[in-house]
Amino acid sequence: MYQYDLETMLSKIILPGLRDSFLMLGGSILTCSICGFLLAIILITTDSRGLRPNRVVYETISAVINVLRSVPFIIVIIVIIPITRWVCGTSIGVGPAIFSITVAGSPLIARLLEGCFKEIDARLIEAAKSFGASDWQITWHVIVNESIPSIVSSMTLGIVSLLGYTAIAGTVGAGGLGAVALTYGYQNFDDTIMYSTVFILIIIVQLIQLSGNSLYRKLK
Amino acid sequence: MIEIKNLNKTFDEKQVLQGIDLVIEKGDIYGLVGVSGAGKSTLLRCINGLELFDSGTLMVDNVHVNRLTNKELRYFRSGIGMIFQQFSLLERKTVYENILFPLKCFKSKMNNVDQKIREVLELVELTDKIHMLPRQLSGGQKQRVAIARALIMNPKILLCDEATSALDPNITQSILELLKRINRELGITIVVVTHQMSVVKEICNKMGVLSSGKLKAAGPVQDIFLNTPELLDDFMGEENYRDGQSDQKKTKLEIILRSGENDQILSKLAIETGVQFELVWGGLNKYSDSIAGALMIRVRDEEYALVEAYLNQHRVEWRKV
Repeated sequence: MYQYDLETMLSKIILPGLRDSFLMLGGSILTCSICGFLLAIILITTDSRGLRPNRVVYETISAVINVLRSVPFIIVIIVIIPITRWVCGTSIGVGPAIFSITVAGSPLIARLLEGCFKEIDARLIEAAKSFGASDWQITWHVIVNESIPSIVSSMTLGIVSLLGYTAIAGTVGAGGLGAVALTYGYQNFDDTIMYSTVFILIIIVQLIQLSGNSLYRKLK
Repeated sequence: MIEIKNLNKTFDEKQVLQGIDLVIEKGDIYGLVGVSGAGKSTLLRCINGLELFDSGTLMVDNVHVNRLTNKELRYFRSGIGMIFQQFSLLERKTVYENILFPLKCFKSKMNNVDQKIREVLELVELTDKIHMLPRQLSGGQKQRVAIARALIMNPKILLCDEATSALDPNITQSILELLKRINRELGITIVVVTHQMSVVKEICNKMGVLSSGKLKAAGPVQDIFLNTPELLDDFMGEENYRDGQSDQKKTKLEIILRSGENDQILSKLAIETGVQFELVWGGLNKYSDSIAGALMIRVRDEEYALVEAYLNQHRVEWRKV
């Protein structure tokens, strides 16, 4: 077993891993938010009590989300490898990881945001209707805008989950801190690297949670 | 003017409104009363198309509400303000932004938006709260903001759905004063849905009583209270005097007092006929512009004819209960 000195460990192993993790996290936050938001809007609009109820659309999207949410992420990644290859050209690296995380993370974000939107009082929506707001204006100005504080706290939760996904993706060839912990820490029995990555992940989660909480307080 | 003819609505096979015929004239403050589930809120929502109905007609200023397309309906609604029990303000927007919202929905190119908002705020006496958030306001102030928001599009009609039910009595009073002023100064027709009789007495000139989806009575408020009080028993717990035990040998009479008539009727009746009667119940109420009420007395059967003759002779309105 080879022991790295601290500098090599930091500059050659942990920092590149950290960078890849941040790339994956940033990329997947972006894609999952966009996809999740759009899905949540479609769900809340086509819900039986929504502005344009549409059972077929609602149930279809809901079923797909449920399927994706019921399979553990590690399995999802492996199952969709052919699709990942077809879309990204390869299944290894940051890009494919973002793709896999998007597939599994968007349904999660969609459900979280749907929950936020559902919290809006139906009477508030009715009031907006009463002075002639269009469905689009109600969705944007009332449903989305009024739920911003709860969107922030739900997204905090979602982002922490996505960070977990990036670590899992790391175990099947995506790189990042997850891969570092697995290859150097677990398979190479390097406790220093193992606990360093764990420590870094804890710090990142704390930072995400703290900034989420303070943003929530500011917006509330 | 709102004209409703033979309006029917079912919901989940339950008849919520049945053969409603109602006319609300321009400038009226019209009260729709009934216990919860009587259909009054549904009827109110038919007026601005928030609820559709199955058959019959509902015309607002000669526009058939049920025949409007979605887009037409949006514009139609902008001419009808509405306020609610829970105020329904955007909690994350300031008073100013809340009032601006209806204008924004129509992308109104008013260049004096600021001035217009200040005008309505002045009317509801909240100019100093313009940049506050709803959560910094009291219930009464929130309802004032909602009223300002309802007035910003210069509506001809204002619909109030239990608008004072969540407020303290003295705050309710001030909101009612404000509604009266809006009716008087802006000539806005107001339709009030409420289960509070005091609200109807305080501000309405006409009223309709709804019960299980049917319109039981409609007309001037005083007439309804004096002519068909049994319809109102359901909502007037404290005045439920008609259930009192009946006395076989006595007859109950109800003497109706319209505004300013028959002062001192009871003492005159006692002195001039010499009949001793019991006062069973009595109540005077202030209606929007007058005082009226009813007195109920119990008379021994053998003296009934005497009292009857006296009342008829003096043209006192009365009835046997």
